[in-house]
Amino acid sequence: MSNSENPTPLDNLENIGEDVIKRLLELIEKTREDAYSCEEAYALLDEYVELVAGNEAAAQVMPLVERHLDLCPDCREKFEVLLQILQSDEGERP
Amino acid sequence: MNSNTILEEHIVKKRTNEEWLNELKSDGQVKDKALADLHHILVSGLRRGLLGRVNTSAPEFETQAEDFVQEAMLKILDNLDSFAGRSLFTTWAHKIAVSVALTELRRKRWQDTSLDGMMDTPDGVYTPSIVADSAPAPENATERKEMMAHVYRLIMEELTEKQRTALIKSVIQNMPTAQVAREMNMNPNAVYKLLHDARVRLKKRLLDEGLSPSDILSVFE
Repeated sequence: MSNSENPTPLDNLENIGEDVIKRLLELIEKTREDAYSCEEAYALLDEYVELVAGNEAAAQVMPLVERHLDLCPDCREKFEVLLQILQSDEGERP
Repeated sequence: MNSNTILEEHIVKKRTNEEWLNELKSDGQVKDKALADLHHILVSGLRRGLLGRVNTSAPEFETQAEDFVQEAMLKILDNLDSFAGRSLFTTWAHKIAVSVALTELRRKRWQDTSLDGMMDTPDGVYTPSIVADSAPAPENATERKEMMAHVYRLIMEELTEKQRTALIKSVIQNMPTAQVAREMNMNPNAVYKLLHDARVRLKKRLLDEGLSPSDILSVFE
């Protein structure tokens, strides 16, 4: 959408709900300067998911991955699917 | 597990990480067997992992899963040397298959959602239905409206045009990062960085003004 021809949601504040602003503020609140990028979190995701599947203290061992997953819905979904794969087959658990 | 795993009558040989790497890098029947086993493990994994997210019993899922796994296996074979060995080889391989599958499913999901979920409002603004919201309670209505206007002003003043565009697409239009990346002709990692920097700037500006996100959130409670 271009700003000049097609108005964005910000051009009409009436159309943006409180839910959206609350979601944005929650994301801002969780944001830290020393955050992992998607690439960095993805590189460690297999290791992290094995810790979670093995009931290890993943958040303490890899806090930056945990924080990234809190802020990034796309990476969170990858983690959840991966965890479901590991948890649904004993043979694939570490 | 020491015994072989039987998946739908396909007998999968149990391997260590080293054996996976050696056999996938070898030739002939050894490599063919390793490829067949990996293929079977990944298809079975996607079926279990995506259960509840897509209809995995639909006939078209098999074809879709097959395509995802084919693409994932090419990536796996191209990147064997980057496997660091900090997890099981199969977990690493599943990670790649899941990434391929979700990227494609999100693209399709967003296309479907954006067709169904967008509508023309009476004033002609093209607005996703996701932004529809219930009316605020009257007692805080003015304060909420002022806070929302303040946040919008910060978005307009503090962010670069690129950051603002990414934020609008991601947070306001609720678009998956991969879709934002496609529309902005960037890679998803760069979009995440852009969004991260935008949030850091907004947070800093709020703190400079003596406000925290939780202060503002409390107005909406």
